Amino acid sequence: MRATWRVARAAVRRRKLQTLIIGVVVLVSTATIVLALGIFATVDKPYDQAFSRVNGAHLTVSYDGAKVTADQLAATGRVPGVTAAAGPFATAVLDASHVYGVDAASFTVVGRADQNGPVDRLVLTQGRWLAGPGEIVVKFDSHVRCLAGPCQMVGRTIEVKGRAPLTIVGVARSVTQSAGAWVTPAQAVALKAHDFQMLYHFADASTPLSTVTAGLPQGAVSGSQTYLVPKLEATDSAKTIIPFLLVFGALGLIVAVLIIGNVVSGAVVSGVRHIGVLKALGFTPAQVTGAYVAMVALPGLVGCAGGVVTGNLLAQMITGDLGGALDTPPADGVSLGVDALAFAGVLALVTVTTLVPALRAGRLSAAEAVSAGAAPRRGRALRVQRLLARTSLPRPVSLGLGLPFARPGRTSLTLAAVAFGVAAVTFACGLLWTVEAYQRGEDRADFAMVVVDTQPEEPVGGGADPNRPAPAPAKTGDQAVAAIRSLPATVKVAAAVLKPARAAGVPDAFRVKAYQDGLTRHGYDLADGRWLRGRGEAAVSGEFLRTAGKKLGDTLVVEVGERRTSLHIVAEVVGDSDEVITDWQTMSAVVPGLLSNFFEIVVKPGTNQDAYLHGIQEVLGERLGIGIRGGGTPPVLVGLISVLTLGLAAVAGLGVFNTVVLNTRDRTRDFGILKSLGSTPRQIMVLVLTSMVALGLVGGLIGLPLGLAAHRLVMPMAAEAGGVRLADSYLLVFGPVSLAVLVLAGVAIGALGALIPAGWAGRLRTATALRSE
Amino acid sequence: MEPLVQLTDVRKEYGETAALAGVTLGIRQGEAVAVMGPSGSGKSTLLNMVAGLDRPTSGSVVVQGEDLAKLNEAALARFRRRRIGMVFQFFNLLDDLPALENVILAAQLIGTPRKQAQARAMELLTELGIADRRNAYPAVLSGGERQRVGVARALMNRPALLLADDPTGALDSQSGEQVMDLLQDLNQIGQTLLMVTHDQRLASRCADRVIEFADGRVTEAVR
Repeated sequence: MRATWRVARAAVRRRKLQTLIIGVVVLVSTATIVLALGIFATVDKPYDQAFSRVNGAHLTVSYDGAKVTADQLAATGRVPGVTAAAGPFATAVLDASHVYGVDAASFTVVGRADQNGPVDRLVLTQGRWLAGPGEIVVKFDSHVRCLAGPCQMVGRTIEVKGRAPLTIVGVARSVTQSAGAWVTPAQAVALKAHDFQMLYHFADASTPLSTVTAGLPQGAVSGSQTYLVPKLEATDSAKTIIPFLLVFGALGLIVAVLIIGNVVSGAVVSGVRHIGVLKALGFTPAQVTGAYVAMVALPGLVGCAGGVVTGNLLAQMITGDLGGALDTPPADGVSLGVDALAFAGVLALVTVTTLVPALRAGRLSAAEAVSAGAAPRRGRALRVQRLLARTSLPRPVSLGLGLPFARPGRTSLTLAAVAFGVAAVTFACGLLWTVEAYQRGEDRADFAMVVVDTQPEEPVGGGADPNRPAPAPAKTGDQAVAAIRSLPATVKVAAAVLKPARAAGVPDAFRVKAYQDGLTRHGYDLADGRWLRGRGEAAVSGEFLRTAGKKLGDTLVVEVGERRTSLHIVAEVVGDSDEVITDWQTMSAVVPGLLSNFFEIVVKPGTNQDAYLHGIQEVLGERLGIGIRGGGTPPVLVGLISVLTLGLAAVAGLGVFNTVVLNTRDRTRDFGILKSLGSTPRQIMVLVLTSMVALGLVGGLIGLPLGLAAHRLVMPMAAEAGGVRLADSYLLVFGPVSLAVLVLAGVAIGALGALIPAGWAGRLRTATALRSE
Repeated sequence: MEPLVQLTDVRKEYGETAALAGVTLGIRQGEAVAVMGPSGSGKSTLLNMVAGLDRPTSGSVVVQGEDLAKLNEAALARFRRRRIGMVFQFFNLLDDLPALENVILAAQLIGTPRKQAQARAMELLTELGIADRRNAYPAVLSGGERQRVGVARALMNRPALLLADDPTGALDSQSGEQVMDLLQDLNQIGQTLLMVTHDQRLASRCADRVIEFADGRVTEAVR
C-alpha cells in the first residue's frame, strides 16, 4: 500500500501538466455543476423559505361583513386542520390613482394592528409600522417604477375622496400578498371598512376552502386566494429560466464527463511504459490499478473541492442578483446537500472514469508495457493518411488533417466536447437574442422611443412641491400632437388615451389604451390571433389572459369609471400585462368627450434624449410623466448566460488543450523527424493547429444543429412557464452570418485550446524529440 | 580548398556537463568521415551540431559556407531541407505513412511538385532495391528495408552532406552489410558522409577518415 501511494504521489509530481489539467478540468466542471444546481435551488426555495419564516397564509379569504360577524369568523380559525389563523381584519377598498407616480386604480386596505401575528408576518422594506390613525403602510411592489427616478414612498400622502389624507409611513412585503395596504383598525373603521379578511395556515397546505367556511351563511365568502397564486407570481419569472438552466446543466455534465474521461484515459495511455516498469519491479495488477486511480483521484479531489468553493462563490454572486431581479426573497446560497452531491458525484465520476483505463493498465503484460514505444507502431487510419498525402494541400496541413484519425477514441471524445461546447454557445446566443427580440417587441422601441403621459403625476398626492411652478394649461390631444410634431427631432407621434379600468374576474386593476388610429398595430408583435379590425375588439398580453383566466375569442366586460363595455379579445400581443388595447370609437362610447392623454413618439436617430425631453416639457407643460423605452435585457441574465457559456466553452477548450498535449506527447518523435527533415517550427504549429481546427470545424457543424434544436425546443417551454407565448419571429433569430460565426465558435475552441501546446510542439528540441519513445 | 564542414572550438554544455569540450574538425567535399567512441562521448551531439538540430554553447559550425550560429530556427530548418540528409539508428520513419510517402515527404517540404517528387522517390527506392515495398508501412518492413527507406528519404533532396547516426546499430549483420555497401557506393559517387558509429567494420569499409572521440573531444584521428 505504501509503495502504491508513493508511486502515485511521485507520478502526480512528475506529471505536473497532466495533474494540473485534471485538477482544472474537474474544478471548472464541478463549479459549473454547483452553479447550475445552486440556481435551480434558488428559483423555488427562497419563496418556500420566506413563506415558512413569516408563517404565510395558505388561504386568504375575504368575507362580506353584511353576511357574517367577526365572532363567527374568529371561530373559523379554530376548526380542525387550521394550525394558525389571523383576523378577522376589517377591509375596505380604497379608490385612488397615481399613488406611486404611476397609474393605479383601487386597492384593498386591511385594518391590522400588528405587523407580526400568527400568520403572514409583514416584512418592512422601507419606513416603519403604523403608529396611529392617519398613517398607511403600502405593499412592496417591485414593478413600481417612478417616472422621475426611484420611488421614495415614505412621506408621501394619499388623498381619498371626502376623507383626511393618509401618510405613507412604511412599505411592507406580504409573502401571501394579502393586501395592497394596511392601516390601523381604527383607521379602517374611519374608512368605512365593512368587510373582513381571515388568514389561515393549515397543517395540510391543500386544505380546501370549505373546511373553514362550513357552517357560514351562504354568500359570506366574497373572495379567496390560495398561497399558490402569490407563489406563482413571485417565482414566475424565475421559473422561466429553469428550462434553459436545465439545458446548461445537462450540457455542463455531458461536457464534464467527456473531458474527464478523455483526460484520465489519456493519462493512463501515456503512462503505459511506466506501468511496465512497475510490473517489472513486482507490482501486482491491483497495485498498478490503485496507483493509477490514486494518481488521478488526487488532483480530482483538489479540483472537486476547489470547484465546490468556486461554484458557491459564483452562485452567491449570481443568485443574489437573480433573486433581486426576479423579485424572489434573497437566497441562502447553495445548500450543503447540493455541494455534497456535486462533490461526491464528480469525484465518483472521476474515479469510475479512471477505473476503466486503470484496470486495463493493471492487466497489461509487463513485457508489452515495457516495450511500448520502442517497437514501431502499426500506423493508424492508413487509408486516410494515404489519401491526404496525395492531395495538393501543403504537407503540414495534410499531415495535420490526418492526425485526429490516428487516435479515434480520443478524437471522438474531444469532438463530442467541442460539439457540446458549440451547442452551449449556440443555445446561449439564441436565448439572448430571443430575449432581446422579446424585449424589443415589448418595448416597441421602434414605435415608441419616448412616451409622454400627460396625466398629472400625483393628482391625489399631497406631497406636491410648493415651489414648483404652476402647471401649464392642459392641451387637447390635437394641440399636444401638433406641439410634439413642432419639435424638430420628432419623426412620428401616435396619440392615445389611457384610462384606469376594472373587469369582473380580473384580480388586478388595469388600463384601457385606445389609439386614435386603432386599426394600426403601432409596433405590437402578435403572439396569436389578429389585430383589431373594428369596434368592440381588444388586444391583450399573454400574461393578462393568464391572470384573467381568458383566452382568445372570450369577451371581457370592462368597467371604466361608472360605465361598462364588452370587448371581444381578438389578439394576444407582446406588451404590458396591465393593458387592454382597443380602438378610439369603442372608448369614445364609454367616455364621452375623450381626449388623448398619452403619446408615443419616434425621434430621429442620434437625438439627445435629455434635450428632447426638455423640449417636450417646454411645449406641453411640466406635469408630465415622460419615459424613454428600451430597458434591454436584464444584466443579471446576460451575466448568468455569459458565465455558464464561458464555463462550458472553457471546459471544452481545456478538453482540446488536453488532447493536443497528449497528441503532442504521442507525436514528439514524429515532430522530431519532421524537424530533422527541415520542417520549420511554424510548420509544426500549423500541423498541430490544423488537426484541432479541423476537429473544431466538425464539432461546430455537429454542435450547431444541437444548439439550434435546444433553442427551438426550450425557448417556447421557458416562455410558457413564464406565461408568455412567443411570436414565431422571436425564435427566428439566427441569420446566415450568425450561423457561420457559431460554426466558427468550434474552430475558435479548437484553435484556442491547441494554441499553447502547438507552440510547445513547434519549439520542441529536435535532438531531444528524436530520442523520444 | 575550403572544407564542406568546419567546426571550430565547439563546446556544448548541459549544465555542469560538457558534451563537447572544444572540438575543431574539418570535412572536405566528397570525404567520408566516421566518428567512433564510447557511449556518452559526445558523438551524437557532434552530429546534431552539424545538422543544425542543436546549437553550440560556444565555437562555430560552418557548413557549405553557412555559419549555423547566425541562422534562426526557420532558417536552420530550410538549411536542413536543402543541404542535409539524415539517417538514424532507429530509422525514424513516420509509422502512419507507407514507404513511398515517407520518402516523398522530404521533397514536399521544399515544395517539389508531387509528380516530380514521386518520380525521384521511385528512382531512389529502385536503386536501393525496395521499389516493390513502396506501399508497405514501416511496421511490416524489416530493419534493413526500413533503413534503406531512411537512406532514400535522406537522399531525396540531393543533400550536400549525409549524416548517419549509427546506421547499422539496430540491424542484423546481413542488413548491416547491405547498408554498408550502400553508404560506400554513395561515397564513391561523391556523396560527402559523416557517420557516427560503434561498428568498426562500417568505419573501416566506408570511411576515408576515422576519428576517435572521448569525453567530448577528438582524441585520435586513426586514418
